[in-house]
Amino acid sequence: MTGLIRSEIRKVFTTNLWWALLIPVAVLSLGSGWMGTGFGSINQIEAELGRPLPLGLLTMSMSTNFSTIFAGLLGALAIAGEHRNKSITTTYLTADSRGAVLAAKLLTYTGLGLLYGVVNVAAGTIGALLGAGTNGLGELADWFSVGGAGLLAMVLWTLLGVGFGAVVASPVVAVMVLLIYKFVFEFIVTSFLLTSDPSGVSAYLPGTAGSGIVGNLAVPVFVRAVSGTNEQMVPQDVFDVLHFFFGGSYGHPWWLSLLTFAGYTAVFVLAGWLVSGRRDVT
Amino acid sequence: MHDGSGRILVQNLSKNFGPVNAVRDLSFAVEPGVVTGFLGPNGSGKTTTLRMALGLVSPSAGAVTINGVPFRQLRNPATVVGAVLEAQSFHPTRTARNHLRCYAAAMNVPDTQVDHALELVGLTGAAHRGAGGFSLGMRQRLALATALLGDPQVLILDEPANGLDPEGIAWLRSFLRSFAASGRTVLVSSHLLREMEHTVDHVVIVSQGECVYNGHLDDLRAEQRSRVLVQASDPAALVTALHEDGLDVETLPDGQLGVTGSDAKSIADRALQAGVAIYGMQDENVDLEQLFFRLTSGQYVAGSPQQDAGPSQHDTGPYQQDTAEAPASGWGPPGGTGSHQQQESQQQDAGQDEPGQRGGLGGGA
Repeated sequence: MTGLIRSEIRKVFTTNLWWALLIPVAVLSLGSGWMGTGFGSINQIEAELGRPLPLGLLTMSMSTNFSTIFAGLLGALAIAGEHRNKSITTTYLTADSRGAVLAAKLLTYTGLGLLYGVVNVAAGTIGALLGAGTNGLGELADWFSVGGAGLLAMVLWTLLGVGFGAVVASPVVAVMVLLIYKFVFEFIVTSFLLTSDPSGVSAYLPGTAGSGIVGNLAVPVFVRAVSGTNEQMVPQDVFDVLHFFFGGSYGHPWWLSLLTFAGYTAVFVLAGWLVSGRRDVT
Repeated sequence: MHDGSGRILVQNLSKNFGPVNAVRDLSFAVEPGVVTGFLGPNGSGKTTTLRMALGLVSPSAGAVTINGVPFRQLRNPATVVGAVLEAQSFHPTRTARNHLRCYAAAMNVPDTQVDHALELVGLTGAAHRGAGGFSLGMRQRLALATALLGDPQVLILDEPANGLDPEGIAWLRSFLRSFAASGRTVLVSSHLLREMEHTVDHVVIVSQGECVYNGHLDDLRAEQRSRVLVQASDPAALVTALHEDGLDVETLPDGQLGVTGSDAKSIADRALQAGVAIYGMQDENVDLEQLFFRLTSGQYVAGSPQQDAGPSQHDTGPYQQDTAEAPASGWGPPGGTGSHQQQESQQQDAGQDEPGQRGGLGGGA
C-alpha cells in the first residue's frame, strides 16, 4: 500500500492540476478576506457598537464554501482523469487490486485536501489581517474552530470528488455535474426553500450540508459578537440572510452538517468502490 | 500464490457485449520458452481475450489463469505479468521518466530500474519529454518499458508492431525471441501473420471469437499443400480417372481441375492413359498468408475452418504440455541484452543525425 500511495503522490506532483486548482483557492480566500473586512464604513460601525466585528470569520466561511469546489474537482479527476488519458489500465495492471488503487487515492487525496484547506485558511487569515488587523478574526478559539471546520470541509469535498469520479469515470461528466449541481441546481432549490421549508430539508442537501460545516460555526459566532448580550433578540431573518451568503442553515448545528456531508462522501466512495471494481476497462 | 510456471491457460472463455459474442468458448494454453502468436483479423476477439487475461474485462463465462491463478489474485501483478495494450496510454504532460517513476513506485521497484527500462527501449534521450508529444512508435516503446519495469516472467503484447517502422519491428522481434529464449512466456497478438511469421514459434489463430488453429507454426507450414491446376479436353473423364487413383480433385468455377496430392508429371501420364488431352497445367502454391485467410474466413474453403484445423489441434491441447522450468530472474532478456543495447545506441546515433525521424525507431533525439 505504501508503494501505491507513493505512486499516487508522484502522479499528482508530476502534473500541473494540483497547483492550477490551488491558485484560485488562494486568490479567492485572500481576496475575500481582504475586501470583506477592509470596507471604509466598517470602522464606523465598529465605533458605534463599541466592539470589533469578526468579519474575517464570515469571509473565511464564504471563501471556504466556494473553494471546496476546487478540491472536489481535484478529487473527481483522480480516477476520471486516468480514464480519460487511459493510464487507468496501467494503474490497474500494477496494483494488487482496484480497491487498493482507490484506497491509495483516498489517502493521498486526504493529504491534498488538507493542503488545500491549509492554504485556504492561511490565505483567508492573511487577507483578514491585511483588511482589518487582528480585530477582523475575533477570538482565537473562534478562529481555530472556523479554520478547523474549513479543513474538514475541504478534505471531505476532495474525497467526495474521488468517489464521484470513480463512479462516472469521465472527467467531462464529473466536472459538469459537480459544477452544475453546486452552483445551479442546489442554488435554485435552496432559494426556493428559503421561503417555504417547514421541515428544514434544505439543511440536508449535499451543498448546504457541506457549507454548513463552516457556516454553522461562523455565522452564530459573528451574530454573537455583533449583538453581545442581546443575542436572543436577533430575528431569524438576519440569520437566514447571513446563512444564505456564508453557508449553513438557521439553528442547525455544525456537527450535524459535518455528519450529513460525511454520509454523502461515504455513499459516493462506496459507490465508486463498487462501480470501479466491476467496470470493464476497454 | 501463483505456481511460477509461466503458463497462461485460457479455458472455455466467452464474452458477450450485449448481443455480440466477442469471444466464444475459447481454450488454449501459452507455454514459456517460446513466442506464442495470437492471430486473427480485426474484430476477432483478440484484444478482449487479452483484457480478460489481465483482469481488465470480466468474462461472461470461463476463466484465464496465469501461473495457475486469475490475474486479479496475483500479488504485485506487474512483477509477474507485463502488458502492452492498445488502449493504454499516458498523461500527455507527464514526462516519460516521471511516468515510469510513478509505476515503479506502485510496483515497489527501485527507481534505478526506470533508467534501465528507458535505456532498454531506447528512450533515454526522450526521458524528459512529455509523452503527449510522442509518436506512436515511441509510445509503444514507453509502454514496453512500463511493462518491463517489474522484470516480469510473462509478457503480453497487443498489436505491438502497430506504429513501429520496419527497423523497430526487427528490434522487437529479436527482443521478444531472446525474452522467450530465457525461459519466459511471450504472448503477442497481431492481425498480420506475415508480420509475426519470423517472430512466433507457436500460433493460436482465432476467427469470430473462436479458435481455428492452435499449434506450432511449422506444422501449419507443413499443412500448406500445393495443388496442380489442369485444363483438360474432357474434365469429367479425367476426374473419374484421378478418383480411381484416390486423388482429391476439385472442379473450379472456370472449368479447370484442382488436383491435390500429385504432381504435374503423374497427372499428365494418367491423362494420356485415360485418353484425355491436356491443354495446360500449372502448379499452385498456397502460402502461409493464404492459409491464414482460409482459416480466418470460412468462405475460402468448402469445409468449415475448424475441420481444416482439426488434425493439428490434438497435439497442443491446453492440458497436455509439460511444466517448463521457471525462468531465470534478472533484468532484461538474458543472453540478448548486450547486443540490444548496442543496437539501441546505433539507433540513437541515427536519430540524432536526422531529427526528422525522431518519431520513428531511434526514439532518442
